[in-house]
Parts: sequence; structure tokens; C-alpha cells
Amino acid sequence: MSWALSTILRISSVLEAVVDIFGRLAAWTCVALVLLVAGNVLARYFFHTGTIWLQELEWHLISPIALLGMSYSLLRGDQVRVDFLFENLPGPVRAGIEIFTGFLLIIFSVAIIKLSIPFVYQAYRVGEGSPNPGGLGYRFILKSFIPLGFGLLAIQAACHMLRHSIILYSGRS
Amino acid sequence: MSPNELLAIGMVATFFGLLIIGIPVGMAIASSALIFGYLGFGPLLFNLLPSRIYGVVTNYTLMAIPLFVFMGVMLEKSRLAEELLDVIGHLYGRMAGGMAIAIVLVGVLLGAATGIVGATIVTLGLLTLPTLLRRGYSKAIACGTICASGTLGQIIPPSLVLILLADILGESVGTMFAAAMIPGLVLAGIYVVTLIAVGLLRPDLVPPIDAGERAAMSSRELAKKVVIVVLPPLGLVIAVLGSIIGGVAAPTEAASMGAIGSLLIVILAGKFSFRLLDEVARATLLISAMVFFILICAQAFGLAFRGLGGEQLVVRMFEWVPGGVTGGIVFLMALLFVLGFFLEWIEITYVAVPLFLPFFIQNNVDLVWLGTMICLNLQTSFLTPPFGWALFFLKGVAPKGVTTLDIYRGVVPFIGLQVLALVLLFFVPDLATWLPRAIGW
Repeated sequence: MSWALSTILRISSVLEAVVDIFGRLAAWTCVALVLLVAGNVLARYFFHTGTIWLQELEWHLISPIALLGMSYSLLRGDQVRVDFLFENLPGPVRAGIEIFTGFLLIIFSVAIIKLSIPFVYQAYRVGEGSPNPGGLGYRFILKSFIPLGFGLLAIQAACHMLRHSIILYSGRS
Repeated sequence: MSPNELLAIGMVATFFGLLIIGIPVGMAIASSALIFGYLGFGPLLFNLLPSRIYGVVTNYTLMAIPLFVFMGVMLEKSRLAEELLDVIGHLYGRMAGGMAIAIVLVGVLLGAATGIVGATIVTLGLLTLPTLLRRGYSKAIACGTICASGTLGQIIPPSLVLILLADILGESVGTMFAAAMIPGLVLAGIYVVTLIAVGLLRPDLVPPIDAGERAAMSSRELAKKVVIVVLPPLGLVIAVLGSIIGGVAAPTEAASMGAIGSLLIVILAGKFSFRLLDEVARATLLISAMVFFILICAQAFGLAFRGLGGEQLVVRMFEWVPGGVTGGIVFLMALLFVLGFFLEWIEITYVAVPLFLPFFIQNNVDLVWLGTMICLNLQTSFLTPPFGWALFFLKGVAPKGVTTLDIYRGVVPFIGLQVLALVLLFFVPDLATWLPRAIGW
């Protein structure tokens, strides 16, 4: 049993490392966004230049921040919740609620992945790109952040369930 | 009442239920929407969901969120905000309630600089709550002051709420910024006056800093520090507002001026390191992703609520209201107040406000005035127990021993003060409409 347990733990550590890498990528995307938007503003004001694709890149960067960040905040962040009841519950019940949360997250993520794959495929099939001349093309890449982000979220939710199951199983709080 | 409307009500009730047992907010929203949307419509309803999500994560206006959060986190992690608070605290330390007044003032500055409620409350809470408690402040007053001051950033321009409201009302962002300026400062003034009164009546609840600690800093040293620490946040506000007014940047882009400005300030203060930047980047991601996740989940909720005819329920409520336009305004304010108990301001601005807008346009209500009242009212939604965001954010960073009930108890009087400000604005519309007129917007 303990062999199985340690294997499960090792697998979930590997998965969490993957989530962490995507999270760091998204974190540095925030820095890139700051530099890009400020750079565009200053270039326009002082040098009266600017390109369409750099302008469009600004809002393209929101997707990785928002969608890759979801799983990372489940891994590293605090959950925003109403806790006046929660914090007074006994440990096992709290672990149970965490497991239930993970379960709901997986259902939600899988539903969105299933819904968004045709959405991405449609963009790929018609070769959707920017309507502006000189804009960014390949919009299916941008749209595929939706299934990717929710895929990572489902993985992290599974790890979340596992860790809290172990807490429940071993009876520690 | 049709079966679907019953489902709509059931969905809201389930949302409450999940929240109460401690399911994280985003999941409570999404789960109740999935279950009841599916019951009412089957899987078809949610086919729109991917494009709604895509709409959120490519929304140009929402780009301001990571940019403003970056600025706020940078000020917080580099400890510049802490010094700001310390200095202002010393200035006001002699009187009972002085620290609390300092927090209101810092809330005005930081709030204006960052414009993001979550960031300001987390910053103020982390930096000041332990100090306030150590100095013998009552838990409730300390928590209430922090939450109320943190939400000031929402009405004092530049703020995200005002940008979104301007978009919905069809007014220019500059006009809304100018309109909210005076009501925001009036509200801050009401807080200060109240805290002074508490200091006079019950000094035991808000004790002054003891003389020994104050004497440790000479007045000349203090004066120098005031200049050094008050200038940077003031500079940021000027950078953000100035670049909008001066036509350098669009309002969303102006957030980047604040972000790059905070980076420059930290470099100039000699506090920059790559480790700091990495920490700031990750904290920015955590906060931004949390906001975006809730927005994404709210899309599912909005789809289901609309699909199930929740909107007709709301419209029918409106038809019962007596008293014409004035009655309509009072009802809208009461409704927003109640919605604020359980919906987020973005949901309220995007779902509820457009629903009622045609009625007010038809009746020639001044939209700038109405918008400012909506903004003041939404601010209350951050504070109202049990689901105000400000309360969650503060709880997240509060030291052990501060209970959710302390926080609830603390914000109630401040909610009263906000209602007072709202009533004032209702009877004196010039508070909002004078400044935009005077500068000719």
C-alpha cells in the first residue's frame, strides 16, 4: 500500500512540476505585457510609429495569463472562499470539501475542453486570422489556450484531490 | 412562475449553498450554472460558452487588470507602500484614531494609484493589520477601516469600474473620471470625520502611538521622509491620469504607464533585483488569474441565468415599482445594493446595468450622475457580508485570531457611511456633474 501511495505521490509531483513550468511562463508573460504596452505607447508618442501586429499582440497576451494562470493559482494560491463555516469544520470534513471541489473542477474543465475543441477546430479550418492588414494570423493557436488551460486545470485538480485524499486517509489535518 | 424561472431561483439558491459550505467562489458559480442550465436546456445552452470565454480572455479593457495589479504588487513587494503608511502614521500618531486616518489617506493614494480593490486591501491588510492590533486597536475598527479604505480605489479615478461603466453608459472615460473625483473625496472625508469622532468618544478603541516611539523620529527627519515616500505614489497617479488627459495613452494603456512607472521608482530607489521581479510577476499572475477565473465562471452563470429567464424576472420586478423616475432610481439603487450581497461588480455592471439603462435614457436621467451613483453603490458591494470581495481579501491576509465575524462587524458601520454618501449624491447631483462641466468634458 505504501509503495502504491509513494508512486501516486511521485506522479502527482511530476504533474505539478509541469503546471509550475506553465505558471512561470504565464508569470513572465505579465512582465512582457507591461513592457509591450508601455513600449507601444511610448513609441507612438515619441516616434509616431507603431505596427498593427505589436498592437494586437497586447491583447493576445491576456489569454496565456488568464488561462495558464488558473491551474497555477490552484497550485500556489489561496482559494477565495466563504470560510466562517469552513474554518470551524473538523479536518476530515474540510478535506472532503476540498476533494469535492477538485471533482467539480474536473467536471467543469472537461465540459469546457469538450465544448472548445470544435471552436478551435473551426478557427483552424477556415484559417481565421486578424481582419486588419498586417495583423496576427493563426487565431486557432490563441484559441487553443482554452482547452490547454482547462486541461492543466483538470490535471492540477486531480492532484488536489489526491493530496487531500491522502490527508483524509491518513487522518491528519 | 414558469418552471425555468423556478430553476433560475434554484440556481441562485444552490450558488449560495455551495458558497456557505466553503466551495471556492469560482467553482460555486460555475457548478450551479452547469447543473441548472443543463436541467433547463440540456447541453445546447453551453455551446456559446467557448466564445464567451474567448471574449473574456481577449478583452482589451480587461488588459488593465494585470497591468494595474503589477503596479500595486510592485509597490507592495518593494515595501514602498509600507514606508508610506509608516510615515503618515507618524504624522497623525499623536491623536487617538490617527493610525486609522492614516490608512484612509493611504487608501486614497494607493487606491488611486492602483485602482484595484483586491490589490489595495491585500496591501493595506498585510502591512497595517498586525501593527494596528499590536497598538491596541479594536479588531472590528481596524478591519472595517482597512476594507473601507481599500475600496476607495474603486471610486477614486483612475479605476477599472469607472472605465467599464463609461463603456456601458456611452460616456467618455475622462468624463466619468472627473465625475467620480469629488464624490470619492467626499466619501473619504466622511470616513475621516467619523474616525475623529470615534477617537474623541472612545479613545480606548483607537489608541494613539505612544510618545516614546514618536520621539524616536525627529521632525526634520520626518519631513524629509514625507517628501521621499509620498512623492512616488503621487507621481504614479499623475503618470496614469496625466497620460490619459494629455492624450498620450488610452485609459487601458495608461495602466501600463503606472506599471512601468512603479518599476522605474523601484529601480531609482535602489531596490530592484531579478528576484523581486520574479516575485512580483508570480504574485501578479496569481491575483490576475483569480479575477479572470471568476470572470470565466461568471460567463457560465450569465448564460444560464439569461437562458432560464432570470432577466424577465428582474424586468417584472421593475414594473411593480411606483414613483416614476425617482422611484426607478431608488429601486435600482436598492436592487444593486442587494445584488451586491452575492454578485461581483463586473457581473452587476455587465448584466444588471444594461438591463435598466433604456428606462433611464428614455426618461432623460443624467447618465453621468446616475453612473457615479452606480459606482458608489457598487463600492458597497465589496463590503457587504457575507460575500463582499473586500472581506475575502482581508481574511486571506489577516493574522490568526482575526475571525470572519470581526471583519463583518467592522464593515457594517462603514456601509452605513457609504449609504450616507450615496444619499448625499442623490440630493446634490452637482457633486458629480460640476467637475466635468467645469473642465468642459
